[in-house]
Order: sequence, then structure tokens, then C-alpha cells
Amino acid sequence: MDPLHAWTGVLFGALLFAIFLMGTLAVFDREIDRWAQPHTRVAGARGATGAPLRLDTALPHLQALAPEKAAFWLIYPPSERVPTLRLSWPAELGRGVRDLDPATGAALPEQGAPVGTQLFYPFHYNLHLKWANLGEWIVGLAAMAMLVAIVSGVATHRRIFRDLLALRPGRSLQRTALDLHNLCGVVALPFHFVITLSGVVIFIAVYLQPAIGWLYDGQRAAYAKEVLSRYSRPPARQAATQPIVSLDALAERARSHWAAAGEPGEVQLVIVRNPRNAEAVVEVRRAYERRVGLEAGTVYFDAASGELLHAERLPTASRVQRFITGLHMVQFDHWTLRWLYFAMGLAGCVTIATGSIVWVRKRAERHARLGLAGAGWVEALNVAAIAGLPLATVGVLLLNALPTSWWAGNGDPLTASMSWFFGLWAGSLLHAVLLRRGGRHWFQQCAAVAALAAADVLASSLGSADAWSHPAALGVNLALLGVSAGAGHAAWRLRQRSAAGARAFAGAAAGSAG
Amino acid sequence: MTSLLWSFTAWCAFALAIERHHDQVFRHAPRRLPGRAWCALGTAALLAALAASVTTEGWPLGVLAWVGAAAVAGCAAALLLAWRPRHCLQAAACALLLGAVMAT
Repeated sequence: MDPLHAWTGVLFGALLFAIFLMGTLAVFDREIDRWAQPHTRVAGARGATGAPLRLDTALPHLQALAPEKAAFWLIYPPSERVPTLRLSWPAELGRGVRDLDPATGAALPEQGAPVGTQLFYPFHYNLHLKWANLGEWIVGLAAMAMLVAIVSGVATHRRIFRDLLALRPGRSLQRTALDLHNLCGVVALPFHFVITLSGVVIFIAVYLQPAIGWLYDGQRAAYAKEVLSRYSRPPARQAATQPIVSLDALAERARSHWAAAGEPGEVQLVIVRNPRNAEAVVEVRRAYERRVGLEAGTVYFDAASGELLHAERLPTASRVQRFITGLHMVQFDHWTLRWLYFAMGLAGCVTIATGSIVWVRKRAERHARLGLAGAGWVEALNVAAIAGLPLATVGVLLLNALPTSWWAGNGDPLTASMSWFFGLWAGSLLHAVLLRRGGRHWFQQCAAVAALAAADVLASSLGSADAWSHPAALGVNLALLGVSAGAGHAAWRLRQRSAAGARAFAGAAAGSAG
Repeated sequence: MTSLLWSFTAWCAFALAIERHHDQVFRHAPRRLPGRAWCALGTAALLAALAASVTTEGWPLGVLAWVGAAAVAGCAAALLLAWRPRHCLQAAACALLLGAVMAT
């Protein structure tokens, strides 16, 4: 079990850390969007007259903004976490997004990019590798490795329950790291197990693609209809001749349908599929509110006539899958639980990071005695994963707090954010590789994270008037201050350790010379 | 909140069943019977925390909140034992009472 735990950690540690960190950030993805896009921090989800903003307001904007061949339009009514009327459509890179003022229905000027929902969150589950679902496959493999690491970890750490609450901060960094690994690994063990297992269950349709293709003769729509109770119809040859019926009227009929079924709720999302086609369909999905399971009770209407085409009725197996998915995706309205998910996600990051650090440090000492260089390369990878990824994250947040034209030019802010994010991460790897012999890479990158996180808060405070009064911006700013303090403390401890090491080396050299 | 406080009591009780932490708090290792009693108290407190959480939030959300509260309380107990081990018993008792007051 020992080698299994160690090598699973070594091979997948960096990837798992990235997945866990991005997943932890994704818990507050919409709040990060509010921080990065101050113009979306608008108050109230109701129009100027006090009535809810009409969904139909979105249609002329989508006609103008979405490409001619867009397969769907998404319309998110204003909600507590996203107070704007948000429009989205498929774009070359991810999705195009535009926010409308909930009071006037006017398009809000763009500033910054929705990095929380469009950069960090997709990175968590597909690493932005979309070709043939490659990202989902890699993340699934990493999740399986995490399950192996969790089970083998309980068997490997023989004193795990005896040392359960042992935290010895005054001892060596190695000892403290191992204590943190044990503590965070054990107290959040049920959460880590469930979140990892549910992560695999979410993409069951991706991982079982060959079996589904074989069972349904390659007819994916037949699978979606039977298992997910979805409705779809092929687009017609001709374009739409009639305008789309009132979306507000359809939303009202959907509410009545849900109330009659004993599960009342508000509209969370309206999707118009094949919007410019004669066979266009409007889907209306219910908000999850305090339901754990992701059952949206989707109702389908003909876009031209408003005729009810289908209402979702999930089979039991799919309801179980949606419940497990809901456990993972924390879409329910519960702020305390959202914070607990965030805390336990951080505990997962600490477990993975400390495990990798302890393993590499042990190897580094042995390799130094034997004159080998392998551990230095692995440590450089560790630095890039554990310090470099937070560095890229706070770096891209800093850019989004600055005027967009400074760093994106006339280009799309999201595309530019992605380029900067991966560029900074690659830069961190290069820096760690170049400094792999000196051991200063940890200190320098931790110090850079601390400085950039503090700069994020400063730029946010100077760039927007409500940086400390809007709840989402306040939360992100406080978290960034915490990151700055934590990374600063780590840098200080690393500096002390390297200074002590240098003094000991100088003392030994002087002693041997004398 | 009750769930968090009672989970904290539970972790402190579990810690006192462990030789290292019992010695930190009482300056001697636990005898066999008191060790088991601390374990039983910890288990009871953890179950009471679950019951409090489920009563407030309902089944699925209550269990999730309990798992989260137990994890956070475990970290808090570890921090207390690392820096102020002698206060473990008083802190656990306070958390137990405060939780009971909040539950009523």
C-alpha cells in the first residue's frame, strides 16, 4: 500500500492539486466574476417599475450578438448571485457572455472577464482540453487515482488515528507538513471521498461513451431521451418564419407546471435551441434553490407556437445520478455550506500539497547524498503546481482589476485572460526549473503570490467604489488578503530556513577548515 | 452552529482518549477505562451534532453540513491542542454548553 500511495501522489499530485484548487475556487465562481467585473455588481433583480425584468428584453440583444449559426442561446434571469440578466451563446473559445442591466434592460459596458465561471470552473473539470473530451478523461483518471490515494493512505499511515490531531508547528517544516497532511486528510476524509467519487459519477456519460454508442446504435439523442428525459428535434431546412413567442409567457406556464407537480420554483435558465430555425425549441429550467439533486424539471415548448412539447420526468437511476452530481456541484442556496465546501476544498489542497512536499523533500535529501539530480526536477514541477498555479490565479485576477485595454488591447478579455493565465503558469515552471539547484524557487514564488494577492486588493479598492461594501467583492478581497498573509508567512519561514541552512553550512565549513 | 460546537466537543473528547493529548492536558496517560469513556463521549457528541444538523436543515443538507462542521471543528481542535492544550477540557465543556443553549 505504501508505494501505491506514494506513487499515485507523485504521478497525479500536481494535476490533483490543480483540479482541487480550481474546484475550490469554483465554489465561489460567480462571486469571483462579480469581483473581476465591477459593472455586474448591480443591485436588485427587478426592473425600474418594480416588476421583474422581462425575459423578452434579451431577444433583440441575442439576435445582434450571437453568431448566425449559434446552436443555442442561454438567458439567465437575475438571481441573488448573478444580479444581471445574463446572455450567453456558443463562441469559438468557450462561450460569449453579455450582461444586461436588470433595471433598464440595457447592455452593460464590458470590463474584465468572467474568469470565475469561464476560466477557473471549466479548468476544474476539463483543463480547457476539449478535443474528444480529453480533459474530462484526464480529470476522471486523476479522480480514480485520488480514490486509490485516499484508500491506500488510510492503510499506509499506520499512526494516522493515533496522530490524528497532532500538529507540531515548532518542529521542522517536514514534520509540520506531515502533520498537516494527516490532519487535513483525516478530518475531511468523508468529504474528499464523496467529492472525488461524485466527480467520476458526473461524467459517467463521457466515460461510458463506447457502451452508450453500442447500446443506442450511436443515437445519442435516444440515450438522452430515455436516460435524461431530454427532448430534441433535428433542425428544419428552412429558417424561422415566425418570431419566437413571449419567453415571459412560457416562463409563467413553466412555473404553473412545476407548482401543479408539487415542486414550485423560479426560473433559473431559458435555452432557445436552434434559435433562427423553423424547428426552434425553448427549454425552461427551474432554479435548484434548496434542492441538492440537480433536477431542473425542464419544460420544452415549441418556439413558434408555444405548444408544450415535453416535460422532464427522470427515471430513478438518473435521479440518483443527479443527486450525486448535486452533492458535488453545490448549486443549492446555502451560504454556510458553500463556505464549508470551500474550507474542505482548501483542506484537500493542503493534503495534496503537503503530501507531495514531504515525498520530494525525503527524496531530495537522499538524492543529494547520492549526487543524483532527479528530485530537483520533481521539486521544480511541485513548485510550479503548488506555488505557480496560485501565482497565475492571483496574476490573472490582478489584470482583471486593471483597465482591460492595458492587457487585452482590443481583443476578447476572456481569451486574453486565458493566455495570461497559462503564460504566467508556464513562466512559473520555467523559473522553478532554472532555480532547481538553489532551492530559492519556493521562497521567490511564495513571495510573488503574497505580493500579487495584496496588489489585487489594492487594484480592486482603487478601481471600484464598492470593493469593500458589495458582499461578493468584500468576500473575495478578504480571501485575497488571507492568501497574501499565508503566502507571505510561508515565504518568511522558507527564507528563515534557507538562512539557517546557509549558517549551518558556513559553520561546518569553518569547523572543517579549522 | 450547534453542530459545529458539538463536533468540536467530540474531537476534544477523541483527543483525550489518545495518549499523547491526554498527557498534554492532564500530564499523564489515560487509563484504560477513562480512555474508552472519552471515546464514548466523543461518539455521542458527534451523533448529537448530526441530529442537531439534520433537525435544522433536513436530511441531505443536514448530513452535508454535519460533515463540513465536523471537518472544521477537527481543525479547530488540532489548533487548540497545538497552542493551548491545557485549555482543551474547558473549551470542550464550553462548546458543549453553548451548543445546548443554542439548540434550545
